[in-house]
Amino acid sequence: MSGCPRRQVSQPDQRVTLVFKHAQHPRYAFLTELIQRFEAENPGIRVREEILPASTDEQHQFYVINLAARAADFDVLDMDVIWVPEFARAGWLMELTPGVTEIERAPLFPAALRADWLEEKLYAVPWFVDAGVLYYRKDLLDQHGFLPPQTYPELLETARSILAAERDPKLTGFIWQGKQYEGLVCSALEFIRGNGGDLLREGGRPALTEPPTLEALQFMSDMVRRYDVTPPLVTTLNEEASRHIFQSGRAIFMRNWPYAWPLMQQPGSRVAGRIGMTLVPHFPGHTSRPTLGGFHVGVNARSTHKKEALAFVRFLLRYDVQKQILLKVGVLPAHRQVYDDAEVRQKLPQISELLRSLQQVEPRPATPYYMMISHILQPELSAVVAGIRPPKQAMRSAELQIEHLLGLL
Amino acid sequence: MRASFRERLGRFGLLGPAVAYVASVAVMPVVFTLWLSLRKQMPIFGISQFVGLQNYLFLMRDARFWGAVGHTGYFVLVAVTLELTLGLAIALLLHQKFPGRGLARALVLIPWAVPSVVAARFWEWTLNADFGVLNFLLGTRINWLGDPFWAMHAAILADVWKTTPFMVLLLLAGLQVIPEHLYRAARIDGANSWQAFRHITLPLLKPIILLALLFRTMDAARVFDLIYVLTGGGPGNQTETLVIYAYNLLYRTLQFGYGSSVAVATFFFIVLLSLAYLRELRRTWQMRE
Repeated sequence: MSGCPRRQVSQPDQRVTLVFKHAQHPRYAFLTELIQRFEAENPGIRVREEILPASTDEQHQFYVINLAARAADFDVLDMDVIWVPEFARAGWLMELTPGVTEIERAPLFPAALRADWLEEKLYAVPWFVDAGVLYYRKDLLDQHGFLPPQTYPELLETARSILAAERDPKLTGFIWQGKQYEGLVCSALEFIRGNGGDLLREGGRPALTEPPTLEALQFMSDMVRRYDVTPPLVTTLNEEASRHIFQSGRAIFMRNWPYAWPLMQQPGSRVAGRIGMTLVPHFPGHTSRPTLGGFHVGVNARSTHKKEALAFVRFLLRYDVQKQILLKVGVLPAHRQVYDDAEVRQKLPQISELLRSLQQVEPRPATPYYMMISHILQPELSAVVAGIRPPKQAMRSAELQIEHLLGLL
Repeated sequence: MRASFRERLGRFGLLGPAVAYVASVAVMPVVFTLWLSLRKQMPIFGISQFVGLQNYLFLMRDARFWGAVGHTGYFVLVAVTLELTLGLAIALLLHQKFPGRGLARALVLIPWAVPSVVAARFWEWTLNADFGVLNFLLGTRINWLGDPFWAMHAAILADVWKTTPFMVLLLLAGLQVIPEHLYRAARIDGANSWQAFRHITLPLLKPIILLALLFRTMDAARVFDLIYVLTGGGPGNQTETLVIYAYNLLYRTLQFGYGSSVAVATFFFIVLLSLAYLRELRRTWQMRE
């Protein structure tokens, strides 16, 4: 009996340590609180957070290098929605179909979940979502007697009237993400889909040279060169550069993600209390189609702690955890019912507007070749925005490259 | 006999670790990349097969690749020429005696000591079309990083700022070993400063100039971080260089086979440029002997 204590001392070391790789999301320090709760509920598991580099390109690169080399030293992966089909197709993710139950999946936004399925199998789940939104200067619109625009022609008319009346050389009309990078694809997709077009047809063939797509792109280009509503420097704007311009009061409209709202409303911001948020515009006869963003979690197929990793993934989907993800971490939960929560509605009045966007959200094409398609599209879209090539020529070139890539030629 | 064999064995034994190290970090990756470039390797599709020269055949008619070759060539040509001209002028200036010369020499080096990514961020803000200092100082509204014409030149400007000090450093070292008595003799013969520069400084500095050009050309031909941060290759791929294209293929789209062929092509592009310099350099040395 007296010889036993030694064994008891070594007991805590038998806990399984999970490694959770995640990106530096806004206020991600609060994730630690959630993780502590998980550890308290599951005494046998410890979760170690490992933070990825700041840029999504570097995060993707990290995963690709390590997963291709069959690394097993991390268990749970935090992934941008656009990488999920790619990683699943490569066989790098554990199948979650029986592990995450139907009941747990049901309340998640269907558009977000769509990217997680490959050949009837589930490989990841969204833990937070994102949707493109249109920000507007409420004060300027009120002052000049305009309602928030629903269509692009309305936006154009509103912007031109206000610009003409204000006569402020520093004020511009409408800014969006026009630099040659992934954000440009997100912006352009909202124009294209808002006109009934798309990147790929059913069956995965490119649909880039169809009239709705070309018209939408022509309109993007015209806003810069013909209508003078979007400044030429849009070709250098990413999310933060756009926010900087809008927040310093020098744009009437901006397309961006919801993260910008609390930042622009905080004390010290020049536009605090003077802005509104609504659905991204569409063309007459069509509907608003915001681009879906957000991050998903999956389990490394080579993980040696799959059971525990699955428990952690399921924990992140729970209603109470999802609510904390919204209130503490400050990103939009994937759980639909959190948006109806009384406490949430009271603390975050803008949530109903965001829910409206999320209900119309459309993911980027959920195909394993998405990264390649985007890599081909980015320079061609950029060429359209910068006025180097007209839409038809640029999209014809992109279509040829994509068809070559997919082996369709 | 026996002892000498053991001695030789001992010598090779001592070299062993160094050879193994160089082989594993320098030779192996190159060989591996060469091997990869002969394969179609796309893990997403589960494709991994030997395709021989197919990647290189596609490379020959890949417009994006030739665009990148053009952008890289233009960048190297303009940036290195400017760096040499400016570097030589500054080196000559810093070679003169004047009060505060030591401080001036130290200050000139600062841009070179700044890490590339930091320098790129700094230029990203300076060149910002909206609130950048450069437009403010010039009183212009040029879209430096977003205009198809200006973007490449803005990148060149940033590179010249960053690496001219390196030229200065090498050329200054070269100037210091030119014997002073040659200039004195020239002055006695009635040569003016231009003639002294043309017939003494330049010929004696030539090997150093060639060496500096070699270093800078190799470096500029594989430019990546600066442009990647400034423009990401845009607008409309106008600033996409060979290494950025290879990076996009390899890490953003996981085309390991084709991406490796672009990397190998870049490697040979740089080797070719270097060989041209090395031939000239050898000629200069032979002439001296």
